[in-house]
Amino acid sequence: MSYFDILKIASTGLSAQRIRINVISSNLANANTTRTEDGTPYQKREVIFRTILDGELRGGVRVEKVVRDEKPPILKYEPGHPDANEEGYVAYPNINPIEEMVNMLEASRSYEANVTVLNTAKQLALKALEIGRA
Amino acid sequence: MDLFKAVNIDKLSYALDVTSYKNKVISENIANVDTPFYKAKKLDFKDAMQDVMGTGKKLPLKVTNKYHISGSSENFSVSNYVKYQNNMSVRNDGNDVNLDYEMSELAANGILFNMLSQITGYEFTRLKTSIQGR
Repeated sequence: MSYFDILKIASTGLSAQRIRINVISSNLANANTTRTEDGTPYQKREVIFRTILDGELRGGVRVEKVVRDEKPPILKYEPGHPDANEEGYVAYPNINPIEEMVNMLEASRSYEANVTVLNTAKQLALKALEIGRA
Repeated sequence: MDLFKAVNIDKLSYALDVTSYKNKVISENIANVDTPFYKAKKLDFKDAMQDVMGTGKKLPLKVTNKYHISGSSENFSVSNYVKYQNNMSVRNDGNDVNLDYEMSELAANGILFNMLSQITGYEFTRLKTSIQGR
């Protein structure tokens, strides 16, 4: 396990959390989107993380897939809405903004933690280079 | 030059060349982080070093004049080892640069360059010591 492996592993963590924040911002932006391309309301998306088990990034993390949350949409009675059904109900995405904000805070803290790991590994490597200096 | 063969200075200078070139490749990726359809490139240090380490293959000599003797039979340059990363793009614009990965590679590469330049310095010190005999 060299310093360079530590840097690579920390960078996989950074990428994973960055993708997670991307997905969360998508969820928040589309919290009230009642119609997507296939005509259904937007569904909350979540990222699935997996440990990398082989190769040079062993021990790092990768985003395996982005899954849609299959929770049923919330129905609101708005007969004037263009996306309302025959009974006058509009299907809104089942997204809880508070939950999303908490996840975003968590993701950004994880990102910061990975940056700290990266900087520590860098400092260690540079300190090791000073061994034997007069 | 057998004097420098004894202290590996030729290999070290080539390694420094590879590291500088890798720095250029990484900078190019970071500069194009928002360029649509840009595909990230990589230069594997191990790949570029393997051909000259232990294989007995001659190190490249720069030929400035076609009447000069070239150092190796084939056209040999660090840029031959630049490949595409072929990342999974998670973006809509076809760009597959992973900024976190590139930044950590930049840090690692800087440390590697420092290390190599220090070792080169030590090798020259050894050479001087053996010449002076004290």
